[in-house]
Order: sequence, then C-alpha cells, then structure tokens
Amino acid sequence: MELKLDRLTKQYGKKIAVERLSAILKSGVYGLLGANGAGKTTLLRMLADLLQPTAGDITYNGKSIYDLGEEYRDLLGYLPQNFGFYPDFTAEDFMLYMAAIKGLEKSAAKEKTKELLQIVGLAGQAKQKVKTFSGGMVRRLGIAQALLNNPMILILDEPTSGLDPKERIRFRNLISEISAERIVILSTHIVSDVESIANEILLMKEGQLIKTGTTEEIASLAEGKVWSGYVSQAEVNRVKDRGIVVNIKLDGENVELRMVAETCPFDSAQQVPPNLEDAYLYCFGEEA
Amino acid sequence: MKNNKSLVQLLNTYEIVHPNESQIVECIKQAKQAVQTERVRRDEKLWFLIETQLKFMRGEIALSLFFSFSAIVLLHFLRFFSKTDYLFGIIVGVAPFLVVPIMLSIVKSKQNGMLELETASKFSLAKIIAVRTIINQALAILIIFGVWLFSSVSWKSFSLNVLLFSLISFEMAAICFLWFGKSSIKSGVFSVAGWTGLMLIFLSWEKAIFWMQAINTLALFFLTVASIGISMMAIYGYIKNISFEREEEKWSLSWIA
Repeated sequence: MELKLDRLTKQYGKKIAVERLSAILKSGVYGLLGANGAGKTTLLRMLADLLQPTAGDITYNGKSIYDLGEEYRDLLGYLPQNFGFYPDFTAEDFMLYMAAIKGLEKSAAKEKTKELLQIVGLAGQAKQKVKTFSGGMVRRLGIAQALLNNPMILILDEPTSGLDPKERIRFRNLISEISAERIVILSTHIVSDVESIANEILLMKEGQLIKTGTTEEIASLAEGKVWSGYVSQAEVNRVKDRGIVVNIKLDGENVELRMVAETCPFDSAQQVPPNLEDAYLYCFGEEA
Repeated sequence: MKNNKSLVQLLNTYEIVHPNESQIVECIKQAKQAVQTERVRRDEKLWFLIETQLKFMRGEIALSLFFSFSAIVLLHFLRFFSKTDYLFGIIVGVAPFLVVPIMLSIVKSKQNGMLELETASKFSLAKIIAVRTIINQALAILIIFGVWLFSSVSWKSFSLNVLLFSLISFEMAAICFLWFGKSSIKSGVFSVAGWTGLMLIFLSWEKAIFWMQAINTLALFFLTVASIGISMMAIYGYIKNISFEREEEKWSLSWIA
C-alpha cells in the first residue's frame, strides 16, 4: 500500500497554497504539523479527492487517484476541519446516512454503526438528535463516521479540537489500535496528539514540506537550542524577548522558564533535551 | 465476459489445468452465482441509499405535498380552464412545488456543511443528487398521474402535459444547479417565489387561457433547448464525476448548462 504525492501544486489565483510537494506514504500514522495557512487543509482536501491539483499527481499503488475515482473514495475515511452534520438526525440516523453514501450494505451499516458509537462513547446517545450534542460529542461522531467503511486511508483534519483530555487520550489509543495496515494522516495544532502516536511527522511551511522524520528526528532539529532555568518575576519581561518562550511556571518568588533560543538567554539557563513542541516552535517561530 | 473471467479465476483457484465436463459445469454454476450475489449486493446498496435519502428529504417532501395539494384544490375551485388547460394549469401551477424537495435538499446539504463529506464519499455528490432527483421525479409523476385519474382528460393530452411537466422540472433543476453553483440560498428562494408569483398572476387573469396556450408553445421550445443542455450537463457530470466543491468544475458545469 503506497500513496505517492508527486510534485503536488495547488494555486488559487496568484496564491500558491501547496508547492511542488512530494512524499511517499506507506502504512502508519503521519502527523501533519504546520502553522495556520501552511497549506495543510488544502493538501488534505487534495488527498480526499475534493480538490484537483493545479499540477502534479497523487497515485495510490501506482494509479492516479483521479482515474480511480469511486474506487479510491471507497478506501477513504475523511474528517474535515469543519465537520458538518444534519442537526435533526439522531446519531444513529446520521451514521446510517453516511454508511449508505459510503456504499455499505444495510446490515453491515447497522452493525458498524453500533460498534463505532460504542467505541467513541456515544452508544447511550444513539437515539439523541445531533443538534443536542456538545462540540466534543459532534467531533466524536465525526471520527466515528470516518471509520464506517473500514478505510485504508484515513484523513483527519484537526480531529481533537474540542475534545477534553480524556477523549483525546481515547482518540489517540483508537488511532494507534487501527493504524496497522492503514495510512492515517492526521493534521493538528496540538503537538502532543501526534507526538506519541505518529510514526512520521511531516512539517509544512508555506505550502512546502520542510522536514519529514520520526518524532525524535524532528525534535533533534532543536538540539542545543532549548534552555530551562529560573529567573525572578521582575526579569521575565526582559528575558523573554531573547527567544521563544515555551513554558512559564511560577515557583514561589521565581519563575521557571523554558525557552527556545540560539544562544543562552539568561545566566541560570541550562540546555535541556528538546521535544517535538520545542522543535515545532523552533521551526515556525512566531507563526506558531 | 464477467462469467468467463470468473470461470478462469475459479479454475485457477482450484488449480484445475485440464477440467472435465462436470468441473466446468460446476465452475460455470459458481461463477453465475457469484455474479448474481454481486448484483443482489449492488441492488441492496442502492435501495439502502434510496431509503436514507428518502428519510433525509422527508421534511421537504411533506412540505412539497402540502403545497401541491393546496395548489390543486385552489385550481379545482378556480376552474379557469377547459379540461385540457385545467390539467395544464395544474401541472404548471404545481410543478414548482414538486421540485422544491430537490432544491431544498441541496441547500440543506450546503447550509449544514455536509458537501465536503458527501463529495468525499464513495458515491460522490453528483450521484447522491441524481438519486434525490429520481425520488423527487417519481413522487411528482405519481401526483400528476393521480390528478389525471380524476380529470377525465385523454391519455394523449395527459402524456403531452406530463412531458411538458418533466421539461419544466428539468428547467427548475437547472436553475437549482446553476444558482447552487453560485452558492446563494437567496437565489433559490427567489426562484421558487418568482415562479409561483408568475403562475398566480396568470391564474388571476381572465385572458389566462389564451396566454397559457401561447406560453405553452414558447415554454415547450425553450424548455426543450434547456433540457438538452441539462442532459448534456448530467452526462458531463456523470462522466467527469463532478463535485460541486471543485471550483474549476463548478464553472465549467454552469457554462455547459
């Protein structure tokens, strides 16, 4: 199973949203990270067969997805950034509706609906109208519908926005469980969501892939640039302009500061091992 | 062709290099069964799609039925027309209400932000809309047929009027497609209001019979041209697997229509 993006370009008038992007995706979880306007959603929409590239091609196992059409979409599970729903449908009706347009048989649809609503913790609300759901519940319903056809390619755009910590953990575990023999592409701003489950991170900036690698490889981009130490509260404002502040934590009279900076930002600062969030801030700076 | 392919596959599966007659008969039987099963599965999927779409459009259909019957009752009491024109009046007067469900269903998809999901689904939006249109048309034809049963109008006249109705429906669908392409719910509302208003003006006019005949002829001409355009659009949409979320295709679609 191979999804190949070959010099993919998408242009809106004079604005280039995605520029000559190439990548080969095999089974596993891919975390797509980038600041707002980096072109993540445009890329995902092209992968979901919603947008056609201005140039370049996407191939699945060697065949263009635009030639495969229905056959390709049959393999697809998609959760858009702005997940829409019919408010007067119950959760169960909505899932059955989605199952029908995904080409499932009725008996299989009913079975899968029950199973997935159970997995996302909405079994008790199956007969409840979607308009009564909270934002987190709607998002969980969105995740459930994306999994209805047992997709080989799962595209999730900001899947965890609006989920509480417990739901996010549940979602991460679910993705980890189902990711074997599937391509899961997950776009998010929440670095911790991909840190633990992504096999590979794709960093996007201004429509281009600037770096791909494992979490450790991406984190190492900020090697020697992450500092931590204590300063007095009065010093914080003076020090914080010397780099990007990752974390501020009050500790009695002092403040514990974690910063990303090219050089040592304050006297007591010591180099610490970088994590993915540090690398993200290092790559995207103020944009992030 | 399919049977031959399945037969070869089956022979390969069982590693039968030199099959005897009974093995060939068995393989053909199994191949036929496989094709039959596949056909049943495909039909089941289609019926399931129709069922869910019907559920999806139930509110719009109920609204349309209510207005259609109100219009029929109103026209029955007004009786401005001779028998043929009475039926024609009903068809023209009721047609806008009968195409309401399909239009509202498209607006509903767009308003609720479902277009993306529907377009990315296996059956794509073009096919989903086609199914909705079929449901809508079947319902409309049933109503017209029901009216004819009680009108004692000749079959020939009835068929001609149904043809005209179909053309009007196609025209309305074209308007939906075009305005939908331009993403305006207001346009959709104006289209129904404008069409209904026009009909009401004619119905309340004493010289309506003459003008209706004139419009009948003119409408037939323009609607025939429009229906050819719509058919082309439908074929183009089907072949190219049109998605209304794809900007480039949206405009080429409007252009063809």
